[in-house]
Amino acid sequence: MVKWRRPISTALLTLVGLLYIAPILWMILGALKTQVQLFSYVPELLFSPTGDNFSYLVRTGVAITPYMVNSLIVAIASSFIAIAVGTWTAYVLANFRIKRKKDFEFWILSMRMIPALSVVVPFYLMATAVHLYDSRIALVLVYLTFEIPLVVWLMKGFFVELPKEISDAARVDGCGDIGRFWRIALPLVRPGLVSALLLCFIASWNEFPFALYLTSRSAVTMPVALTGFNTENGVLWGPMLAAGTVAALPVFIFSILIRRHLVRGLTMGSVK
Amino acid sequence: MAVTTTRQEPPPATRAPDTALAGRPRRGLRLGSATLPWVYLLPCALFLLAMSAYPTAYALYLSLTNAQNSANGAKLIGLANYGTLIHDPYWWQALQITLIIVVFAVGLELTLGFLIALWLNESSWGNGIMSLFILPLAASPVVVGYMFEYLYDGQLGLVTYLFGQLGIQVDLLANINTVVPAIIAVDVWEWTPFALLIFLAALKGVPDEPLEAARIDGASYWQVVWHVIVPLMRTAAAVVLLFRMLDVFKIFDVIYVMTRGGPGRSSEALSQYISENAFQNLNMGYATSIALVMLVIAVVATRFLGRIAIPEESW
Repeated sequence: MVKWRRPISTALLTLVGLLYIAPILWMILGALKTQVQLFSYVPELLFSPTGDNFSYLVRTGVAITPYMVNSLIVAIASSFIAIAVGTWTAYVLANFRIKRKKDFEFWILSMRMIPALSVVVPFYLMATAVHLYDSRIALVLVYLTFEIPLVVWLMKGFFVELPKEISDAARVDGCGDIGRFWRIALPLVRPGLVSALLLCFIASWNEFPFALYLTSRSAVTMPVALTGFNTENGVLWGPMLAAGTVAALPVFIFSILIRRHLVRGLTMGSVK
Repeated sequence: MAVTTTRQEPPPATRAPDTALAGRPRRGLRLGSATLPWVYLLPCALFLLAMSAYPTAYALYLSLTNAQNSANGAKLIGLANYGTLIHDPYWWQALQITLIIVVFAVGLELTLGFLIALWLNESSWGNGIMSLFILPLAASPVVVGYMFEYLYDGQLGLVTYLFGQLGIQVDLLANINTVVPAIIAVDVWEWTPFALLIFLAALKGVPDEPLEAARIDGASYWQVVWHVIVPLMRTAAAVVLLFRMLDVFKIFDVIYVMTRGGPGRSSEALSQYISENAFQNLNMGYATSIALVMLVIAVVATRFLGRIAIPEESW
């Protein structure tokens, strides 16, 4: 686009950007405040920070550590399985003529759109029936229902863009379908693969409704654990803000790492 | 255009092994070229089918029963749940609240996202600043919910304090008139960057010539934006509409965290109403009937919006 309008001060835009993330900064500042500072009538901007809230999380032990571990295990397991199943499916969809392919793709897309609350009751009863209620396995299985569609749509875009000549040459040399996928196509879409993996991780790490209603004690994940700071006597703001900061930092870093492919991932590949 | 309209079906000739390499011996299983790809798709298809068809069928059955907190001992009661639903004022209210949030949140996200994208597109530092706008997208909605509850809190909230400085005493989440706008504001904050990213991608693809031509004809900046740029944003806007409308329609996390539908039922959206019926009132049969109606609305909307947002050739 031509810069035909008078250039707008970049500094002003940076300011808007910083104001935009002010709620995040305010949370992090709050996590570093004492109870007294949190409740002071005039909000304090300059104060001597304390690590008390974070050490509270570590000290009380049960406060968040096991939930972090649950979140990590579920996120990693579901992301890798989704990548394994989804990438291959995407490759097949991108490279073969298949009858009723569009219906199949639309069906996969619509899985991403299903409201969690509209299926949580059957999932809850099914999980209870097969004794998987409150297990990480149940969460992994349920998360795959939205992570696989994400991987399929995202990776299909990357596979379609690969030049056909490479694959054709490999076929002439006697490389089978699986060989062409594994040895030729996959190495070429590595950046997409990393993005898909991190997007799955973020989606799983942040998921709330299924984790809320499919776990009770041993498989509780971070987002559900956070609600525990909301007690009958009010919210324990200090520890809550500290835990929120801890929960948000890894995904902040991941999102910046995959910035280039974030749009693609968030729109299931319909926008590059 | 950056919005994908370019993705094409591979030309059949290079795809189908039979035509491309006629006469060559094939390796592996001898299956027709029509069935083999379907075999390849089976692991994915079977898993997703098991995880969607079965729960849906089960839900359909549950919705015809008076199941309470389990399916045991549930009796079939025909369409009674759906009859209740039609006459349930709380259901209608939840639907209304949900639609209000959808309309205002998505409308604001579209508008703000487009305007910030216009601005960012002309900045030389756009990429660096983008990193700031990405953060809300990655944060867990639960964290965002508490982040804003901390801002809105009647005692220690920064927003409450700022309103107080303006002489307005208000506890946003405890007032039935302000609670829904406060929730909409949270969604707008978290998801405007989504619209922004998509519009930015679309703006990068706007050709220079029509803008030049319009400028030479003496059009003002906003005239160019309105008459030249906005019409080119149609596909991008459709993508935003598709994803945001469906995601806001199922809004749950933020409301659960901040208000649980309160005060009273003034912020109770559909998802919250389902969870209340299923897990508090222990009326899972009725909850499932609400859930299925919600599912049907979502699937129909996906079908309808999906056809507009995702161009035929990219399917």
